[in-house]
Formats: sequence, C-alpha cells, structure tokens
Amino acid sequence: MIDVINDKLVLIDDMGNMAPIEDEAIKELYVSMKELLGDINIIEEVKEVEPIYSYIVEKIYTMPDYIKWNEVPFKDKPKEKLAIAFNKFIHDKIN
Amino acid sequence: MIRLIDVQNNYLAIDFFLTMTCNKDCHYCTSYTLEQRNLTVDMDFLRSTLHYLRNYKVRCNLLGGEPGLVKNLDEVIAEIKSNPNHVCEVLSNSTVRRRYPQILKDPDIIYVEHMILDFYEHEITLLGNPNYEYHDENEFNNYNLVIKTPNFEKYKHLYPEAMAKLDNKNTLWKEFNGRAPNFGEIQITKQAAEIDRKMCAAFPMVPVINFENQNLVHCSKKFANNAITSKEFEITQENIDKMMTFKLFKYESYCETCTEYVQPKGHFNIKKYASILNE
Repeated sequence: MIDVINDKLVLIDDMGNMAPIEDEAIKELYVSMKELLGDINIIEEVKEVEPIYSYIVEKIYTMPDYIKWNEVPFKDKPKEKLAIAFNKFIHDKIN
Repeated sequence: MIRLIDVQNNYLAIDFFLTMTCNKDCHYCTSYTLEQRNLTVDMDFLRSTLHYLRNYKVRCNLLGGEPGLVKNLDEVIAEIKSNPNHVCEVLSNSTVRRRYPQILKDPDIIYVEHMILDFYEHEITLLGNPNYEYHDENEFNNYNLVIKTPNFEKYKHLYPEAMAKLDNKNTLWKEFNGRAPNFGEIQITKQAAEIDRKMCAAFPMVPVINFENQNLVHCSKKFANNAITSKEFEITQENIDKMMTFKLFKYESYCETCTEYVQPKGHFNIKKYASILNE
C-alpha cells in the first residue's frame, strides 16, 4: 500500500512496515502535483480517467518545470481527475 | 482587436482545408494539387461544421491548397467571424494579398503570409510578387511566415538585409517538418519524446476539416504526408464534442513513428490544458 505520512510518500507492506519512497523523480512529482492540486489522498482503488489527464501527469513527471507555465488554476472537476491519474501513475510506477 | 498570443494560449486550432488546389508547388509540401478544383466552398457544409463548433474557442486556419484561389473566401470569412468564439486565420502564399487585399486591413483576421519558398546560394526564392515587401511590425495581425528549411540554416547569413527586415514581432519562424518526401534523410530535429507525441495525438497541432471529402481528419501532418493515411471521422456533434475535450483522437501507429517537431516545453502549455479542461 502507498500512503502519505508526514507529507512524504511511503510504501507500507502487509506487516505494516513503512519505507519511504526514495525515487527522486516520484518525490518531485508528488511535490509538483501537490502544488497543482493541494492535498492529495493516495487511494488503493485505481480508477481510470481520460488519457489526457494521465498524459499531463506523465509530462509533469518527465518535465517538472511544466507546472511553472500554469497561470490558470484547474477547477475542481479536472483536479479530481488529475488526482486519479496521479494515483494510477504512482501505483503503476511502484508496483 | 485580437492578440495572437491570446489566441495561441486559449484557442484550439483546426485547419480548414478549403481546397487542395494551389498555384505553387513548394518542394516541401505534398498537400496540394495544381488541378483547379473545388474552388467554391460549400456554405451549407461550412455552416453545419461551425454550428457543431459554436460553443468552443476555435482558431479556424483557412488553408489547403491556397485559400486565395477560393472564389467565395469573403463569404467564408464572414461566416466564421459571425461567432465571437471563432477566430479566423488565413495562410497564403500572397495570392490573398493580390486578390483579397481587404483581409490584410482587418485586424480581427490573422493573416499569415508564406512568401519565401526557400533560401538559396544565389537568391531568396519568393512565392509571390517580388515587389511585395515583407510585413513590418504592425497592429493589423499581418505576419510573415518563414520555414526554417535546411537551406535557411545554410544560407541565411548571405541575406543580412532580408533577415533584418524579418526580425520583428510580426515574423513567425516555423521549424521544418516532415512534409518533405525525403524528410527522413534530412531530419534536423530529433523525434519528440513519446509523452509529447501522446499529448499531440490527443489534439494535434492541427486536426483538419477536409472540405473536399467533407470529413474530419486526425492530423494535418499525416494528411499531407499521404504515405500514411490519417484517421478520418464523420463530422457530427458527438465527434466534435469528443474532439474538443480530448476524447476522440487516439495515439495511433503513425504517432509512434512521427518525427514532427514538438515544442520542447510540450505540445500545449499546461495553462492551455487548464483553460480548456475547466470549461
């Protein structure tokens, strides 16, 4: 299971042991997504959204500077979909 | 008056290939025929297409072919301009300057003139009247378009005067792209990253409304480079709605091998995605 503890992404195994995720690119993505969306919940259930949301997350992952060009904040609905896409991306990367 | 930067940031561009007929044969273009055909736009088809697009901010790029050869271009432009959500752009080899000079005086039409065919060792070859001046900095939204062909890189230093005249905010510099039949042998830029090609596939730099076949074509580049046929769709309200919300077009096999230039900062900036997805 993946969760956020003390504002850090951690991996929790079946025994409840916690290990921080050390992958720098994923840590940076988390920071960027938080900047874009506010607080993010990591959920176990991985849902699907339209590919464009996954592409935006992947673009931020490959190019963290990408969010710097955002002068227009996302509204609630696209934010929600981006959060879902982020969740899926994190699970795919880590599992 | 419209500002190009606002249009670039907030509108999705669609190429309107009004006719495939052109009066020039640029060596890097495969998107034309010298046969004189379909020179009168079917206004019923145009009106229904614009109706489907009525609620979306669209930059309608009129080209083909050469739009200056279209007999009812004034009528086409008036129809597009009747909806405040739609901005009209005309791309011409300067035939429009000769046949429809009033377009250049209307600051609400973006007029882009592709006047220079190429740079050679002995001359700059022009597509139109050699007495036409390049556009100076102006508020009429008249722009020079210069394609950075391999020759441009090679010979531009031979033409300091022309380069000085073109050095203003009304000149658009376009990367050379894969329309040349032998592009693979003279590729200048590296293939864009996969994620950029995926984002491009979702809404290409320009999908096409093809007025000859009266359908919607995924990608103008693959439409033009007809070695591979780009996916085609019927023009319906459902398909237009899906297209404008990034749900119609998929990452196709031709996207995997595509070598078109994509901005290093991404296909569209995130601000543009936010403004469209927030609608």
